[in-house]
Amino acid sequence: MATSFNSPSKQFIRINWGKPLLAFLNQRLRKRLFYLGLPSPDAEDIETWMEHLERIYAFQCRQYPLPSDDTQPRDAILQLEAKLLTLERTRQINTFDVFDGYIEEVLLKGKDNSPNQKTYSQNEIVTVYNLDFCNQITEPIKFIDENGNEVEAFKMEAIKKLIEFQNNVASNSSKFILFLTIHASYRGETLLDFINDPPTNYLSNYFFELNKLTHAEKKIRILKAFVFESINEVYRNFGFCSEFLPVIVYFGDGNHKLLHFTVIGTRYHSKNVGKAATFQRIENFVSRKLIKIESDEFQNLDSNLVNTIYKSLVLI
Amino acid sequence: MKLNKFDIGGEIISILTKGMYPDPRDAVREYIQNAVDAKAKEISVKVRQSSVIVEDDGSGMDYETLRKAVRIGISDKNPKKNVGFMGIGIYSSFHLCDTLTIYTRKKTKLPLRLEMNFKAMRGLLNEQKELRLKNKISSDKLIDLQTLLENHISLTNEHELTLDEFPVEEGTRVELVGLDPILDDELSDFNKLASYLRDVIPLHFEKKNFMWGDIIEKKINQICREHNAIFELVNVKLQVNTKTEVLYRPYYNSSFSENAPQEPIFKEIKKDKVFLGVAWGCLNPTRDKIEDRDLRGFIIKKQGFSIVKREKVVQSFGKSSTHFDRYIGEIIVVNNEILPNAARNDFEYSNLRTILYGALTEVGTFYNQASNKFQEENKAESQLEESIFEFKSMLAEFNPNEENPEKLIALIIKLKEIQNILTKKTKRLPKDKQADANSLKIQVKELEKTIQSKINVIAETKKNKTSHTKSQVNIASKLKEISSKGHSFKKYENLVALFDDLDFSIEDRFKNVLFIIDEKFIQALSKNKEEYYFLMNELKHEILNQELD
Repeated sequence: MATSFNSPSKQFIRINWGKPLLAFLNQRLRKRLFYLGLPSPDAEDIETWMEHLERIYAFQCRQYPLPSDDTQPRDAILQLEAKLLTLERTRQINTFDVFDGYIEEVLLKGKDNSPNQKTYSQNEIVTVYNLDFCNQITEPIKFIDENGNEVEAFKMEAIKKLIEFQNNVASNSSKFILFLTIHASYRGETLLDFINDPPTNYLSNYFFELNKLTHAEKKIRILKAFVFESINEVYRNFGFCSEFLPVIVYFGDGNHKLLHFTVIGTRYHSKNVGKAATFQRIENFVSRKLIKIESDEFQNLDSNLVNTIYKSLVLI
Repeated sequence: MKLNKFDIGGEIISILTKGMYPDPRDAVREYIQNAVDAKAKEISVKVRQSSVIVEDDGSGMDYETLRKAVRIGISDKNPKKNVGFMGIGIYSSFHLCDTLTIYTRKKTKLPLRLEMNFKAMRGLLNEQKELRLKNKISSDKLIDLQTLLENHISLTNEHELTLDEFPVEEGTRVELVGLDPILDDELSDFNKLASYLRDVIPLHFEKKNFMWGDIIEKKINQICREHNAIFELVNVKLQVNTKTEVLYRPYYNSSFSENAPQEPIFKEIKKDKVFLGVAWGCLNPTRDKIEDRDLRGFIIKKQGFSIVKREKVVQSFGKSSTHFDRYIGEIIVVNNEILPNAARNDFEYSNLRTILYGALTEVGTFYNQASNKFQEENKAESQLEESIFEFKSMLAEFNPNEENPEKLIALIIKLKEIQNILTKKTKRLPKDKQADANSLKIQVKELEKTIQSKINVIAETKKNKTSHTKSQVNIASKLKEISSKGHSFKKYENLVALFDDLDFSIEDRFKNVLFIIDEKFIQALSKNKEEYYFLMNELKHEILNQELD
């Protein structure tokens, strides 16, 4: 049976957060959007947003969370394909592609795990990424590369690869949106380095001040800063400016605490001419309040103590 | 004798489809052809992880037509008008996928859905086959064809589906779901599938990258209209995984040398007032063969099918493929009475088929002549250009005070060569170039006269002084003798070149023998290069005289 991580909060975010943003982008770009994501076999996110979507690239592993293996049944992939075929036939979407495997392994290998080893390629700008790296996967995925070596692939590397592909597409369309959901216990490749050796004094002080909070509260705020730094760097390197919207903290399927990021990317200049500028400072972003979902509405999550920490940091 | 439904086993469907559609791409072709028969203008083919979708904007099917579509070997289609007429194409994916689902809608009606569960049918047949092999089931208990189909095919009623299920104005969507991964290789490779479809579907010509595409399409249409024949083409958009392209016939400017195909030559194919079809062909702009072997020459097409391959068509172009290989073209058969055979690799035997093959010889001769004319003209033009260049070089180098008779004789020889070329080739040149050739001839003649007078003066002067220059004078007189005989004088570099000039066809192994004779005997007899040329020319005259005798 294929795994689905749908939860009321996730669906609430899709409808009340994601959908209005996609409607805005759809209107702004004057065309329906090109979606790339990790839908479940029931494709709930696609179904929620389909009025704004035209083309779909969907990644689906065979047996979550096990490493990919040729002998695993393909049921989840076929179920997702059948779902998307229905949406295509009923003219909810225009066309789609399904990739067999975890996104990070497919992008790093350049091909998926299907019998014919389908290669990943992209001829137009993806306008909405929905990367739901939630639930148990906090460690890198292991897979066997073309040379038969075991390789570890990190989620952030997948994002880097995606933005690299995005940069290589010649297009006038310059705006796209990234929804990124990560587990609160996320352990990215360089997260530990980031905590032990923060890149700025501001972050050192910030992390020090966060010690006043509980470990869990501290962790999500460090993750928030880490994701900003990592993604901002990737975007800049490939000529895109990033703008982070407020982060939503919610409980997903199995009561896992999840962080939902929204990043708007804009092409800063034509490709391959150096880094893009940064218009959003990390200081402003980390001090922006977190959002939670309660009683079917978005509310401020931050306590008075957190607010005090933010205020004290402004003075530094 | 009376038969009943139990006399036709379900296994027949497996046997028939396996034999008729050995390549998984054949199934895609069948569904596209149905779309062509439904007068579709736009057809899309999408190949995904485990599915193939063929969708068209044709006229769609009503309940009765869809009901009839499941029949085997019975078709309402007219063989003279439709591509598919054998009444089995719908089952072409029997061994390829788990389920075949067809959604179709006729204008103003609600959509219909036909589902065939091939996986369950195959499973049941295999199960029974296993039991039979173990003698655990008697043949009387094997499922019959009618029951097999009835149990695994479902068709919705006319009002069962809502428009939302297939919201198109009209058209048909064929979904092959649950592809067998073993058979999937041919389908999931874009180039393999595209190349196959280009060969079997009546695609439009590429207009952007093939400069004559539009003209060829229009001209064939016009000729067909004049003869009340139909020449219909469709747009096919192929998506295999992430790659999407509109397919066209595989001819591009880049298929020709210098990216410049010559203007197409058309030929109506008729025999005794019976219009059979039309041929088009573009010659390579140089005298070289078309580089891509797969595109060289002509292919015979009928309703989009490449019915007769180039290897066979070349036989209508005579013994050699010299001219055939320099064309890219098609022979499009549009006569309704000429039908493709079941395997779509030739025409069904008929009187008209015989007439068609007879007419192809005329087509071959026509295109051979056009190519030959071009070859001759082009060769003559090149030689004219070379002669002009050589003459200009000679003029630049010529010293009016030259006293060395050997040098002057060498110049005369060169001039005579140029004259010979001009005499031979002028009439083969296009008219606008003939004037250039004639003007050059006059200039060459004048220079020759000047040099000849100079030689005569030198000869007269030296005659009285010394006999030392006798040999040069002898050469000069030999030269006069040769030219006065009206034979052309040529500088043959070896015996093979001489025999080539005489149009003798020599096998490679004999060429080696000629090289030995050349080196051991003829070269040994010659004191210098000039004498070698004379000997070669004398040999040529001997051979020509022998031939005349």
